[in-house]
Amino acid sequence: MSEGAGALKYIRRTGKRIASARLDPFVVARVRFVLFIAALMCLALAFYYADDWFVREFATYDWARDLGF
Amino acid sequence: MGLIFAISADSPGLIVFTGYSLVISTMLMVITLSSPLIRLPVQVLSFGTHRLGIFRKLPGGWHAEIPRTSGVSCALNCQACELAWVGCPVGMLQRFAIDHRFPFYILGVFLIFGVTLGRTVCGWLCPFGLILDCVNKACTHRYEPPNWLRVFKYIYVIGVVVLAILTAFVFYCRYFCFGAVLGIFPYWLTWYTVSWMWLIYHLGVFAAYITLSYYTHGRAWCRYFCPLGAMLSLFAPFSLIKVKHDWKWCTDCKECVRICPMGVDPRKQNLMFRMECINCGRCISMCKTGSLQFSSPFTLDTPSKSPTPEGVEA
Repeated sequence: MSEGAGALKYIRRTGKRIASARLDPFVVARVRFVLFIAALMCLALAFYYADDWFVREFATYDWARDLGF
Repeated sequence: MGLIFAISADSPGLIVFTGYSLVISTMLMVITLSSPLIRLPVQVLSFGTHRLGIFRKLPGGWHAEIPRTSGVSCALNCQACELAWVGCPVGMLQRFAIDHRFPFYILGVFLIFGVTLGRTVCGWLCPFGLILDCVNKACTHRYEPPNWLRVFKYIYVIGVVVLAILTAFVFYCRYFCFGAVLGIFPYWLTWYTVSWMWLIYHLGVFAAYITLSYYTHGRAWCRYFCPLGAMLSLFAPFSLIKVKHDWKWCTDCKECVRICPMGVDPRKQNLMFRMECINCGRCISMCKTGSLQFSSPFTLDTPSKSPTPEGVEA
């Protein structure tokens, strides 16, 4: 019981610490750049290799039928 | 213009162009005008843009030759209805999960929107954000749920994907989505094939969320439930647009905290604020001293208003 309460207290404290953390602008800029490159790579893969831009269900009404229409 | 967009929906290149031009134009509007006053027109425009399929219904009957939705928006909008022009990312994510495909496309779109706009999408582009902002005006704000409940939306998004894989079915859209009413109701109006049971069920789901919002906050859905908001909030701390606070002019009146629809403190500028802030700009318009302003790589670090630090020596 006390272990459970202790774990809960630890989770709560860690959550508060993460929520109140302030990000370094230098790190933010670097991460943003990495994410942007990752975004372009994902879109390139989706468009040129996986052909994901078009979802078959949109052209038909499978989507609506799935919702019980 | 809308018809051109609707017709262009069968070309992936044009989808990318129109989709990301929307992002860029919104960014420019936020950057250049820096005024929360233009948010409502942008929201209305975005609402209309998501429903461009209406052009297939209007002149001279039904134009089935105009393609149905393809591509994906980054805002919550039900794609099941006839008026939808772009897909919902949450629905698409479930589709990819059902098909056991890696969602490169969804991830790419989320990253692009996340890195550029962050949760500005929730505040400026989401069609349901417009509805919730209207609800917010009537809210009682009687109950203040604890902040840790915000974690629920992350559990929710995991649940959405897991349920889709387990059931091989868009489980979330069918039973839980607040946005499904935006799909089912126009579909019922145009095709009359929706059973009354489903119409009433989705209206009930919608009413339940609205009731929750009524007693708590207009943006209760965005705070505690929205899977889209949860995914965007992961990238929001790295977005180009943000609200900056300057203690130099701040009188600590806490009006910005009181007015914030997301219940965060703009003065703290911490991770929680960065993840939850929807850049609606209400705090900026409320701040009398100009200590809060929109910030982006293209704006100057000067207060947006003439600072009048009453009671505080500059």
